[in-house]
Amino acid sequence: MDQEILKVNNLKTYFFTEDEEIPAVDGVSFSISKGETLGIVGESGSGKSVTALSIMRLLPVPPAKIVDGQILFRDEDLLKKSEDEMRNIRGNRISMIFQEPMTSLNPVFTIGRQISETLILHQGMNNKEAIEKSIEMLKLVKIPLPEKRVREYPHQLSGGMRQRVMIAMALACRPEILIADEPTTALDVTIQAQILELIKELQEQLGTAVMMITHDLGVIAEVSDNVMVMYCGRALEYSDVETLFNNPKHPYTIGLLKSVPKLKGRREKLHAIKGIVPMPNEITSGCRFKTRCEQKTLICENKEPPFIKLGKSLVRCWKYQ
Amino acid sequence: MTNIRVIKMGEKEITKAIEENQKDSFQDFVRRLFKNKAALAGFTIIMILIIVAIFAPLIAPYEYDAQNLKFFLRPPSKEHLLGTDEFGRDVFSRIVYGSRISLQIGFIAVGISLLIGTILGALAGYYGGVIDYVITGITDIALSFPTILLAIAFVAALGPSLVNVMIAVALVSWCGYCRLVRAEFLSLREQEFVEAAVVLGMDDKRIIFNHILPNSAAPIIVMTTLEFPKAIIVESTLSFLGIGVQPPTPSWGSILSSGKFFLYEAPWISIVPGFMIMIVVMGFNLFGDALRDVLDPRLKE
Repeated sequence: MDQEILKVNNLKTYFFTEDEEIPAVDGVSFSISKGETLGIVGESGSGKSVTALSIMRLLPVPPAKIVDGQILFRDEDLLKKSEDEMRNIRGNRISMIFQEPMTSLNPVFTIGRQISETLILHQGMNNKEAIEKSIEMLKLVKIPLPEKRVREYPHQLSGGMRQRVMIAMALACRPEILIADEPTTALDVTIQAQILELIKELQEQLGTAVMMITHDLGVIAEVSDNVMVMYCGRALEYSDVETLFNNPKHPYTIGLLKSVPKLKGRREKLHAIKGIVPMPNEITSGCRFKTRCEQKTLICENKEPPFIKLGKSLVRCWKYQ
Repeated sequence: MTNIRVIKMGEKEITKAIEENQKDSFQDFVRRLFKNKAALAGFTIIMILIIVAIFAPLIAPYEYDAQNLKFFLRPPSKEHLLGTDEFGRDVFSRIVYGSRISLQIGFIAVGISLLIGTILGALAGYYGGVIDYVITGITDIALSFPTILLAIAFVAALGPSLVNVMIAVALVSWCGYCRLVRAEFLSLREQEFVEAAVVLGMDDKRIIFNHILPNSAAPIIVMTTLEFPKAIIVESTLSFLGIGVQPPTPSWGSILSSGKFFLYEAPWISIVPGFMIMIVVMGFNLFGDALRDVLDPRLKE
């Protein structure tokens, strides 16, 4: 389990506009081992998706630029790879699924052809082998009657089925890492649960490492082993999933957990973290969360806390100094 | 990777499934296409035209340049189905041979302009930026000339001949495709499935030609079927003006033109080729429209 597949060191992805620079991801480090699921949680604009796209090297340059850091995939730095080498890795060794299953499939081709194309491209299979493998993949993602579905077009499938097809496409080449960028956001709750269950099952079967990006703490609790809480381009807390939910440390994490509605107990007014997420370039000194923190002290204003190790977790808050 | 159940299908079954799939979808396509009566009519007209063009020497009772000055400007009769022209040539035979010119112009000129327009439009739409700017500029300049005038200019520069007419027609009609394809690419390249293709590690060439282009096939096909008759008309116009296909090679435009002096004495010389141009243009339009309806998977019932 402890075989590290992906290690991100001090990743800094900045966006450069005409008159300002926006540090969308500012010094994020984490690692994912074989078979592990890392959940990345945060509000909109916290840099979750930019982190994922930086790993895939899919950000448009300019305006985006990875100014510092390393992305070590099996000890090779992805940032030093050529575009051709990256193309070979994408979809083959690192795959990604998005939140829009309704439009992520090409409407004019059968799903069988779409799954096969990746296999033909990356694994050099011939048409027949690829179709055979596609049927196998569809069976794996639990689509009923795969021999029939393989010939159907995306519009003949429901949203949940399309997401299953996307997962089948992403996993067809047996990638070592699957990046799931809010894979269940566009689906209704029952289908969400099914898709998450499916991802978990496939992960156990195939040993794929998963990077699950979401703003839904429920999803995190369901699938993750470790969790990184991101805010404003920074990781604020990094710990295993049980510690995070049972014993959250950072005021932001505590706030997030409080804002989840509870099914049991008396209904109270839902907690909200006051204020809004600042632009990543607004806060130049001190703690990133200082504008919204209820336990702010003087030191928070001026000096940014380092990661403080508390048991199994890392927390970026002066409270624990 | 231990407990994945691999389904083993026999090779035969797979091959059968693939073949059945292809057969099914083709039959389905044909069935849906010809459920539309207009498509059937259009297709019939096009097929008749193609057959006539291929078997022209067998169908035409006379050679297209066989003169018989004794029988000039004869009205339709048993010997000459559509009468004769001022040199006593059989008008029916000339029209039959003329279909060859129309088809050649249609296929080759449209093919060339389709190729130029699609490639330039795809590059402009997909890459944007400077490439888009330059290509759009060239298109706008080309479009600012009246079509016929530009075609006349090309032919005047190159000299009148069948090949040069084709080149001229192609060079005046690629702009439409270019604009259409560019617009299609502009909207399609932002679609998630293109992003998904990038994520799956596909290169630009594959994304442009295998993923985006098939998605813009429907409007391109409609445009092609509309350009096809236009090309025939431009050719007829050039021939009518005397700078197209040179006599004695018959083209519907030149037959029509030669008949205009005898409109009162021998109206059949001009009426029939004009009517042929109209019918063929209509046939392509009907067929193209129906084709669009069928090719769009979203309109499948």
